[in-house]
Amino acid sequence: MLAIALFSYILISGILLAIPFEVASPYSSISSLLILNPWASFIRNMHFWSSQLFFILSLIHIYDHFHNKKEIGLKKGMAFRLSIGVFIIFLAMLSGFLLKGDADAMQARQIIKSLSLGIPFIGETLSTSFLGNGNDYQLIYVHHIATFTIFIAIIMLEHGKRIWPRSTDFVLTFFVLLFLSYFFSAPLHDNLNQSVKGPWYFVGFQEILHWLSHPIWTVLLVLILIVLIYIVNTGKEKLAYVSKRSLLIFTGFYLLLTLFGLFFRGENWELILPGQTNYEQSVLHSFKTERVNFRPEFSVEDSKEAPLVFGRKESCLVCHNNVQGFSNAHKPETIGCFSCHGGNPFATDKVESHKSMIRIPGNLKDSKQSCGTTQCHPDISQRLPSSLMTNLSGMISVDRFVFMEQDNPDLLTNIDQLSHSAADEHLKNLCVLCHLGNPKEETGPVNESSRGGGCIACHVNYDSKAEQAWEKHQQDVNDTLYLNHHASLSIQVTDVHCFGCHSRSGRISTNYEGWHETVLEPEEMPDSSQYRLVEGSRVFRFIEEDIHHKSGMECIDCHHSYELMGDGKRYAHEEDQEDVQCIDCHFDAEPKLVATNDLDNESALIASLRLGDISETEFLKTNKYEHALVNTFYANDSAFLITKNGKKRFHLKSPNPVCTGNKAHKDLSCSSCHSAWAPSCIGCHNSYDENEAGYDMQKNKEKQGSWVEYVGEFNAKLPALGRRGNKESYEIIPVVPGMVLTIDKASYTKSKHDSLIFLRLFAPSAPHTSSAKGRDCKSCHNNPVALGYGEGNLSFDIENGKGKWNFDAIYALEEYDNLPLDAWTGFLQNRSGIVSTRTDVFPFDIGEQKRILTVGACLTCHKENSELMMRSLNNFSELVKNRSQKCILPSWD
Amino acid sequence: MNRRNFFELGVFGVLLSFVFFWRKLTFLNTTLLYSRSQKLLYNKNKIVAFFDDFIIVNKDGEPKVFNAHCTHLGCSINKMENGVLVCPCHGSHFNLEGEPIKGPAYKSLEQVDTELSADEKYIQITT
Ligand code: FES
Repeated sequence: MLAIALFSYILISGILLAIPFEVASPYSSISSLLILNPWASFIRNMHFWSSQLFFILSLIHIYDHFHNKKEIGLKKGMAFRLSIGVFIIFLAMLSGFLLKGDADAMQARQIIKSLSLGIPFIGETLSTSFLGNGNDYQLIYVHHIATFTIFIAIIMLEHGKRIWPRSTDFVLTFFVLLFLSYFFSAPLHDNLNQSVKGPWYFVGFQEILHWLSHPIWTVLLVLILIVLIYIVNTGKEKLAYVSKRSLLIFTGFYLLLTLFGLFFRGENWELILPGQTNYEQSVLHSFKTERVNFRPEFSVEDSKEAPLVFGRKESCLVCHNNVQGFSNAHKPETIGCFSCHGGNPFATDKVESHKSMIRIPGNLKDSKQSCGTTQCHPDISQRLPSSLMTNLSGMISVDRFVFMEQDNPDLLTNIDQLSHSAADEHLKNLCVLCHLGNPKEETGPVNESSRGGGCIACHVNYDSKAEQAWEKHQQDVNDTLYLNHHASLSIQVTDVHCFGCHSRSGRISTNYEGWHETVLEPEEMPDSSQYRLVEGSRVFRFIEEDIHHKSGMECIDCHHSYELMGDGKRYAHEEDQEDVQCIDCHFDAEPKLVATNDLDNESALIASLRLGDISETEFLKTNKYEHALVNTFYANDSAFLITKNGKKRFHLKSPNPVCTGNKAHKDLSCSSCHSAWAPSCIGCHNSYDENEAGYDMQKNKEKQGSWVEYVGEFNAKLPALGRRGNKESYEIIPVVPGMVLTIDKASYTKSKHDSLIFLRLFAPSAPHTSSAKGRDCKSCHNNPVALGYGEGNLSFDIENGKGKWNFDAIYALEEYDNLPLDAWTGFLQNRSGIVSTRTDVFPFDIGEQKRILTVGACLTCHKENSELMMRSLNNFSELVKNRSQKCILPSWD
Repeated sequence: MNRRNFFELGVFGVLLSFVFFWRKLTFLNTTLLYSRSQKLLYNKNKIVAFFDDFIIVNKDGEPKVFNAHCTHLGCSINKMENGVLVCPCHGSHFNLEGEPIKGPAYKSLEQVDTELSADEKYIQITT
């Protein structure tokens, strides 16, 4: 009886729903009615709930038949029609589900099509008859409103022998439906979420399908079920009993599968458990069932004007209808608000719309639901974890190596894998604030204190209006002008974006701009333009800016997207991940080129966004990993670079022949000569203080107790040089004192076995202080710092016709290893054991030192620009052989 | 045969004739609509491009076009995860050759005949 009442509501609500529903564009029409017309959305809910309840009651009714078969005793013909009837009800429900036209429905349609096509002989006919041929919904609609409805009506009439429901049932049902339809809305997929599921009664079936490589077996299963239902109703006692039992077991099993599919299946069909990070996004999103809001917070006129985005209406755009500041690709008319911010795009009141909204999209924890969705930048969000800026592998590994917690600084690891060891605690207290996964929790422009923020760490920019509006809002929370001036998201990455993180540790950003950090306190800072205060507490002194910076180039003019956002491969250290080298632009042989047509899509897109028409362009590409340098081009035998933001154009010059045209310096990296200076920090001490107010940078929480770094000396000077590689294949590179320090490990571990660690490790350096003019010959050959001895007096003394190099260090010898504090190696000594923060970087050995110093001896008399010294670059040993009597070479005994 | 049987047979015959019409309608409809040709925008720089019904894979400068419908049950594949095409419905994985590397699908994606336009901007597809 109740079923008859429900059926009448299905009919009434269905007829009413047909008015706003447009079969030509079901998805947009449903999304529009949700936003424009709460009454229509209420009727839709009523249609949904009445049919769900009807379906459930039909199942219960059949179960009843099983139980009371004797009393009911059906005729064969009717039993047959009843069995088919269940199937038709299922089809009616399914067609209703398909008529949503959303992502779930589209995939379900494909599955039904494939299943029916798999049926031998009549498959194609069935599929065409049910779904039609094209992609439209006309035939499905006809079946839904006519074929299945009429069939169900006939069966009900025949079975229940009644047309009209009892008035009590009719009224009672109405109140139940009223309640359900008001409080729980029928679902509609947002077409963005990657989890795709069928209707709830189909989810168990979806699970079964996933086990079957030959899904056609399921058709057989459905047939068996129909036959079983038929037998239960008509068969002989024993047979009916077996059928009944089988059906019950199947139903129980199916219920379990349904629950499993509903609650433990996430995106990409992966298993997911409650509590996992994206459980809400992957699973719970399907249960978004807000109540109907009969008083939307906007007028129908406003909502009509809101544009259709990705084929749907978004209620967000009705209220936020005049937001400015976006770059073209991210305009709300194109991608809406929901694509980035989530929330509920179909709700019509503020609270409901903003529920589970991502206030600051782009943070890595939710980048897959914002910037990284399938329609936008999925490949980048997949690559990002491979970038060292995300995983910090090099930093973590080196720190653990220095704390003697691992033997090798090259092991790959991840910021998520920090433990409670001394090294990891040290990292948490002092280092790991700078990684892309560190979430940006507050709105506002990027500044020198910014750290992390996922995609927005680099890609967010506030124009002046947006910044002013944001500032106003900071002063007065009720000022909402900022809602109309959105920050833009674009490829306009500036040095400011890099500065927050890269002004620390290696201090690449500050070096590049010419600033060297001092140990001065802010109040000690001289009042001079040569000094600069960073973050209100760090005092910097101007030394010399990088030639590229001076000419107007920014960080991203050299560094490309695959270096910064990762290329999908894991690297141990930054120099491994870095792709761009000086020779890519300053080449002296044939350039390495790549034509527009051969660009990868990302480079092509970036190049065209930056340069406009790029057809017929030839770009330079890197020597190391062969990525295109999208702001360069090659024409008329010349190479050019255009700055990415400023659009300044440069003619790229080849290196001076003195660099590349001689044998003597062929193993020197460009930066070993062209780095004007590098920061050098020695003698710091690290210990753990239980009483220090500390901070856990990984969890962003204050805590008691912290590692403390007691700074030693901080200088700026020409970097020392060292060898990367083995004796057969190597490169001379600049190095700086990476870890010349002491660590009181026992202060943290409280273990007697942990003695004080003293380390004298230098690190390879990319100083980012390039000067056009390289350092002079003496600055290497006669310079104790360059050779790794540290500061002091290095002199070539001639006595009794015998030349001898002598060295007097400024710093006293350390008790731990008898070397001056700032030295990397002893004067004319070899060093063994752990010497650097890498496994392949070493100080010069005695042989190499002697060779360098031999040239140094010549330079004590001969001018470095002299014709003789120039000649020596190519045949030094011959010149030595034929040297004059006056020339005294060093003797080494 | 009495009158009643005769008419019962008649009803059966009429119903059968509708089955006949039904077959005719669907088959004719099928043949009329199933052969279509489509032009897809071809981006030479993109390794994988997803369209509603097709996926263009351009690995070594040789574009291949696959039917985007999963060989398991026809869901539209519209996603690449770590270099693998993933079906959203039951999680089958395919490599960029269209071969299944994780079930339930066990057949390769159907490769369709294509013709690249002279200016290499379009791919013509006939199905
Ligand atoms: S349809 Fe693709 S895995 Fe089932």
